[in-house]
Amino acid sequence: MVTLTTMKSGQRGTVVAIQAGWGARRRLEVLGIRPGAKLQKVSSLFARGPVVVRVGTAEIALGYGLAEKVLVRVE
Amino acid sequence: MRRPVVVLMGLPNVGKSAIFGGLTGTWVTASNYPGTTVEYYRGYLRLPDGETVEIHDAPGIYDLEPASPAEEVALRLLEEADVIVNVVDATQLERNLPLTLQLLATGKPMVLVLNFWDEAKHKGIHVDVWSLERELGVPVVPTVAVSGWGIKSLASALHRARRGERGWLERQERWVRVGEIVGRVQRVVHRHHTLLERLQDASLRPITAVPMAALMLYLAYRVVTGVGEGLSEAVITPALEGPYTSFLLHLHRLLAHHPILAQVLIGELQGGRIALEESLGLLSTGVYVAIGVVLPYLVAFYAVLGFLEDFGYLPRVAVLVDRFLHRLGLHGYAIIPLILASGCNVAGVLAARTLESRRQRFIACTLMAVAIPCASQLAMITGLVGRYGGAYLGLVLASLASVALVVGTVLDRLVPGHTPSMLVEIPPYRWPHWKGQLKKLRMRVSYFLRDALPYIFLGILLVNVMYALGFIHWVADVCGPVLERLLGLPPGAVIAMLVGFVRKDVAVAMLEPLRLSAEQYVVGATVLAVYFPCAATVAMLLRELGFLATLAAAVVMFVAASASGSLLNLLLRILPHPWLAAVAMLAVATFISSSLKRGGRNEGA
Repeated sequence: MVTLTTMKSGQRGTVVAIQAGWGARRRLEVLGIRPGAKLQKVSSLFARGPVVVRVGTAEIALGYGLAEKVLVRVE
Repeated sequence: MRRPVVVLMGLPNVGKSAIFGGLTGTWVTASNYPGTTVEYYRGYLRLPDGETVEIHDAPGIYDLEPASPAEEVALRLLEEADVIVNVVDATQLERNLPLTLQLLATGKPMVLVLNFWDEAKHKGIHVDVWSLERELGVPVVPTVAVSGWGIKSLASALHRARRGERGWLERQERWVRVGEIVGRVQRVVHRHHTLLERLQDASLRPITAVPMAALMLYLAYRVVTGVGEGLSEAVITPALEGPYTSFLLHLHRLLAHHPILAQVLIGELQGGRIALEESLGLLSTGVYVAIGVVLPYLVAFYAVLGFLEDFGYLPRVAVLVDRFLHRLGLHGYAIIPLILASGCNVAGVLAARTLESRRQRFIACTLMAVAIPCASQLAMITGLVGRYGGAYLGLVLASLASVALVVGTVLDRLVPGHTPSMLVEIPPYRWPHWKGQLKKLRMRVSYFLRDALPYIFLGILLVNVMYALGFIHWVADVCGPVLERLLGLPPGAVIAMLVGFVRKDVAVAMLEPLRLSAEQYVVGATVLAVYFPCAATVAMLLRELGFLATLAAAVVMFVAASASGSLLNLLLRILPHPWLAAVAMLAVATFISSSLKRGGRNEGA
């Protein structure tokens, strides 16, 4: 199991858990990032920059701090 | 009897504003990024049966629990709705339907709009409209809002609005239900990547993203200056210098018996001729500043900004600058209000509503007020300082960047509250529709002509009144020595400072008659940009932040202006070249910023 920050660009996986407070979890959920959701990491910017993932047909950018809290099982 | 109220509801960036425009014939700003609409707009539509309904365009929301002031606006509107039009992005049914189910549970009659119908087809996404109607129990209308396709069917579907599937589902149940519906009504066919999608991926990969951003910035700069100069030289200057000055001279002769009126309207003649830059009349200098200098660049700037907005580039810039903006107490998405502020600070302050916390809104608004000159101010600065060479113009911009860096770092440490991580949806690239582009440009330019032009005239009028009353000499005597010693500016620069409270472009123009050196123009232009925003921006700050926060911001501006102006003056005296001064300014700012950061970490440890 990895976090979105350690996951490699191009890898696909399934969200296992989101280790964040209620508010952050809800913000992620409405964008489709919730336990059980399948996603693909598109890219991440150097030096603790944001991570971009693709969920369904949508692309979503998460700040590094938030991306660290999303646990993913890589396929 | 009150008219029935129809409210457009939906996720951010699904095209509600474009649908609103289509239905009501009025136009509100629509762009390709989430959070364009932060206020609500109202318009009217006459239905085919002759009844008139009121249409409200609401800011986008993700669900019925608000997370920002813009979302609260939307929820208040929902309560007033007699009919809901739920606008849905047809390419992302699964993401959109949870809100749809929540809206249905309110028990209000509803119509569902499947927007981006053409894009869904291109992407190989097929939605069965009839099955979706059966599943939800409400009419479903496919549209392509930017081209107007489907808007008529939507208008005639309004009186078929029905209460659909009822009952409040818990989040978990809602997702299950959404999965079920999507499984029944949507079919996705695989197809190859388009050129736009390849570009899309490249603009997010680190190796290609930075060069692309640099290229984009360079192109934007070239187009704005090229088109601006072209318009100015080919169209506006010949018109102003030829027939218009002869007209003014003629008018001046006609007003020979009304010296006060002649003074206010036309001002002093220079050797029997009209000097558009220096006569200081409403019709001479006022018109010259507004139409001759500012307008051509404003048109060019907004044409480029409008393209980038609708193309969908701005959220990608947000990803690139996220790290840097965290240093200033913001996150990447704050770049969008900051970019809008470089058109007009008033628009920037309003757009700051999309930021989640009060702390971020305060920092963003203060930063734009101190360090981001609006397009018309920058056009004047370019004209005034740029003629001495790009180095001097670069120095002004480097000084403003230094101010932003230091002010941002200080505010990040001082302002209580927190800045959450950025979380934002990146829209796909879309080719802008020319109709929308033209309307947007026309709206922004007419905003300038209608709302900014009076302030320009007011500024010029103020100068006239101050001269007439002898007020200038009095203020110059009092403040002159300070200006002289700290900033190296002559006492006459006070007039520019005073006018700057009203309007910045006029203020910069007031430096012109002082016959300053290039170095003095640099200091003057920088200080004018930093020390206080124009009247319209102040009014907006008061509305959005309240009195105390605006006062706090004003203190920051004053300190930043005196400090940066004095330092700049000093550096220009001891360093032989403006580039060196620019490097020195940036070095000082970086040093202050990083030592503040280190101090912060030690304290935390």
